[in-house]
Amino acid sequence: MVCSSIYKHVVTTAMLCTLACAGYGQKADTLKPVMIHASKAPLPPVSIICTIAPGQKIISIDSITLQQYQYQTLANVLAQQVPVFVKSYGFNSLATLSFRGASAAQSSVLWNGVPIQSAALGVTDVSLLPVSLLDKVDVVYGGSSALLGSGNVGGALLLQNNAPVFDTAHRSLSVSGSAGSFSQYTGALKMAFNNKKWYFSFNGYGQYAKDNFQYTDLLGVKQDTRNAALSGGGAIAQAAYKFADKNVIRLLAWYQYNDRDIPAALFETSSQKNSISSSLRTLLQWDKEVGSNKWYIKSSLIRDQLVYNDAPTLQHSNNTTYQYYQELGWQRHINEHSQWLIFVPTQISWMKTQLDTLTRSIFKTAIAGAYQAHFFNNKLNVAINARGEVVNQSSFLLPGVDASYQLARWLSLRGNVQRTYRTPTLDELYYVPGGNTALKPERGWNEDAGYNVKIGNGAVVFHHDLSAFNRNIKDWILWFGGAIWTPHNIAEVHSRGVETQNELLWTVHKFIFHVSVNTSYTVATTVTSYIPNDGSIGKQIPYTPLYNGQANIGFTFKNLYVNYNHTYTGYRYITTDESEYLSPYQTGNLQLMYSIRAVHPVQLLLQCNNIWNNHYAIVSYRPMPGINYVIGLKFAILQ
Amino acid sequence: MGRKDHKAIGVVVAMVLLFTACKKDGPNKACCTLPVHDSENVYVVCEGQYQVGDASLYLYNLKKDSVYGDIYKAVNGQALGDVFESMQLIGNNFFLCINNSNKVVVINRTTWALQGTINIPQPRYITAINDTMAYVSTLYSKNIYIINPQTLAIKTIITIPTKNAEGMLVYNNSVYTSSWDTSTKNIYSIDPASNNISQTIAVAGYAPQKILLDNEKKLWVLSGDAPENRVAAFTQVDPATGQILKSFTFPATANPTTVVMHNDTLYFIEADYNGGTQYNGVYRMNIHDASLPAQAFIPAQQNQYFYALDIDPLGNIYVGDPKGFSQNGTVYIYHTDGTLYRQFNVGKGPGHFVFDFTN
Repeated sequence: MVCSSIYKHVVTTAMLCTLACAGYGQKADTLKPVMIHASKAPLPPVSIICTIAPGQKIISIDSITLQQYQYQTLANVLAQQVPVFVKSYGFNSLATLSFRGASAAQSSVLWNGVPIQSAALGVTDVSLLPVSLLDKVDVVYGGSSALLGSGNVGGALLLQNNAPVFDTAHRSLSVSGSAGSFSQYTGALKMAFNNKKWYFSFNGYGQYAKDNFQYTDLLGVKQDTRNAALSGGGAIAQAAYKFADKNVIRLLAWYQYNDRDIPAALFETSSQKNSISSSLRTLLQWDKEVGSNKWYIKSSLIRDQLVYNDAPTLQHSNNTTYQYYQELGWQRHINEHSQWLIFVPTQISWMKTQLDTLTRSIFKTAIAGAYQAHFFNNKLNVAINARGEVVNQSSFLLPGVDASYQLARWLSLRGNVQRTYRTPTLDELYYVPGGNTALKPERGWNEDAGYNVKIGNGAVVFHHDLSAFNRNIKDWILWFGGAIWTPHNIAEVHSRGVETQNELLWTVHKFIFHVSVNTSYTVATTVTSYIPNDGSIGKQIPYTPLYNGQANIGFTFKNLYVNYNHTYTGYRYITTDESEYLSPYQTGNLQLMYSIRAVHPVQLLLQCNNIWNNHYAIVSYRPMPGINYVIGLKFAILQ
Repeated sequence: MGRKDHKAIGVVVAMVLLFTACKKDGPNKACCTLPVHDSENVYVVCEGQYQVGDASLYLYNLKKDSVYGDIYKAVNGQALGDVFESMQLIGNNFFLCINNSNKVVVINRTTWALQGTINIPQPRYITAINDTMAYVSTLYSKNIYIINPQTLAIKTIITIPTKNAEGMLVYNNSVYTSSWDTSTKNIYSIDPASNNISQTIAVAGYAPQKILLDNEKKLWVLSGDAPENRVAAFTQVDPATGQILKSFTFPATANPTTVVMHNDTLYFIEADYNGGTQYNGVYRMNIHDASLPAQAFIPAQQNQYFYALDIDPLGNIYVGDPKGFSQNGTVYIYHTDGTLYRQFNVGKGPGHFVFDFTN
């Protein structure tokens, strides 16, 4: 116990020293480049931002990290590996993102380039995004509304599936399953096959969990969590046809269903709350490339349904929202030093409100463009972009510019300035009761700059990245109320901070050792307010930890991968005037992965979360579990 | 390393130094000495944020102009729970209805020490009938719980025809009970001897929520639920006959949320949750007035609404501003002529006041 305590302090101190010195940074690169079995499938060029925004900070979560968490959801990956705050209402419960002090609705999530946040709420529950369904995950820091649209204020999560391949006839099939603490079970199936004209793939999963972990109640008595069961499943299927070289059409469909009980908070005696969510997301995409020109069309329809029941309080709601999204784009490489992109995105979202049964909708259409050029022997990379958008009766111009410069072989600089905005969601405008049709969009400017250092390319490689950001948002939207909750614009919020990413790789014979530390320091305060006598002026925005960080240490030896992960999250205020707060928490997590290379390769995974058995809550009065395990086995039948 | 590399190192060092000034993490933890019981105590029932569990009890002493909170947590070492709806003094104990924690917490009047807890689903208000009997109204059900305030035991449960029993008034050996249900206009007179409904009175508006007695021994009923499209109304009723004497219907967009009676004057809050100034503030009307007041007596400002209202034995008017329930609220004390006398900060969502002016 003493050892564990000392160890925790050592790790925490190391992380905090890193932060205090602020000499480190985040990198637009992978988190851990070592792989023991990585996907080799090519990635589709869906993330325009990755190719035409050189000054934007983007973290790609590497395939080995995704494999580590293949039996869990993105909420766990992000909380343990990426400097973003995941506001989780409990184990396997609702979890939303907060980038750089932005609200959940200011953090966009795109699937193969299509925004998938709930049209009603404007947020995405990342605890309902299973890692096993996704092939690539990128995290974009900072606003880039010109390229990614409304809602991209703090950052974005880019989810992708493998692009179709049409080389020679190929088949792959794997099955996997896991079992874990609190009666957690998952099963998954992945398959893909193709010939020279057709490509089909299928990623499916099912899960069940009782989640009946033990916690300590307010009187200090140990209790078993009740009404916490989770069951669900989903699949992403893809079919693609190649008309000719670089002329491909593909159809993707993602269906997901979750039936989730919601356990009682510590101040409640019991709970019968339950939510059932189902989503159907479809995407039809055509890409054609001729010479230096590339055209694409995307068309997507999304249906989200959320049914909520709480029998004792007579609450029942059944909300269904629809989103249609289409995008037409043309990208042209003018020469080897420059390219431009122009695209026209259109989004229509609608829902029927429950009480007045009227259909409410939001219509957005825009024309956006970007120009990128290299100068000075490709050392300087500059891009300008702009978006003119019409939302219902209002119009906005969203300009931006970003650049990177290779100052030395081992050092590059980058900078990014973007105008950013978020339009109110359907619920914020029309929810009955409480919707506020007088709401104005949130708008402001986002600036960030950073540098990237990479030293060594042999046995020892050190990589360090630092980003500093600054953002002012006017007409920030917050929900206020007692009996009736209503969203209001609250004037201006100023966010600023520093993020670092540091990594050391050391190869000794067949061992590759890795040590990495990610940190973030975020100050997000209310500057001015429309509320009389507002006590929030100069105070930190709720649920925005000032300090947040993760560390990884481990090694790869032949087919064995071992990693210890440690996370630290600082104080979170839960009120706008800092009058209430939650204490910092730390978790230690151990991951072990072993691959057996054979005709039918087998991958064994063991994960132990919260290894120090800490008692903590991310959201007030919603306890998280102590030490817990997941054991998984993956069997490749065809590869 | 070449000359360029040295320049680059310089850039890195400069940027590192630029960001070395960080802010101290953690809250400013204030502490103060626990007060002793005194006269002229004003308790502020701070409802807290729904589903956050931060209800609190604040104590303001008018004589000393001092405020202390959360006195329950300070004395008993535990949080009150979720949604502190109301508090009632019965005998030498306060009974605290913690609505969404499904309990009634009982504390001593002078030491504030926990005496016990009564588990009742969604309690709203408590009205004492006598030393051994009190009614507890509840939300979402048709039940009224009858408890013994001395033993803290539930004696029995009575059922009324409609759900959401709310405000209650004991007068002339009857318990008048409102039912804040959008499907009904009825209030019920219950005989506490038999616990049976002895009379049903239909008032002018749906969803009756508060019942008061004026100085001429007439009942006043506030009904309505504007967010649920039930237009609010005042109804004056003769309790002797059950006859409606007069009624006043509010404009459809007005949302009166609470009302208190002071001698021959009704004081009430109209709230606009959307931040407007029309129908937003503290209003007052004499029981003999011919119409509802057109102007607020104490107007709320834009993006402000009031949530708590009461008048102390000295005639001071207390108004609670919850500031959207997202931060600590403020209590304003006004003189009878509407001039501001004092103000002080309290917990989240000040919803009710309880005056204990005796020593």
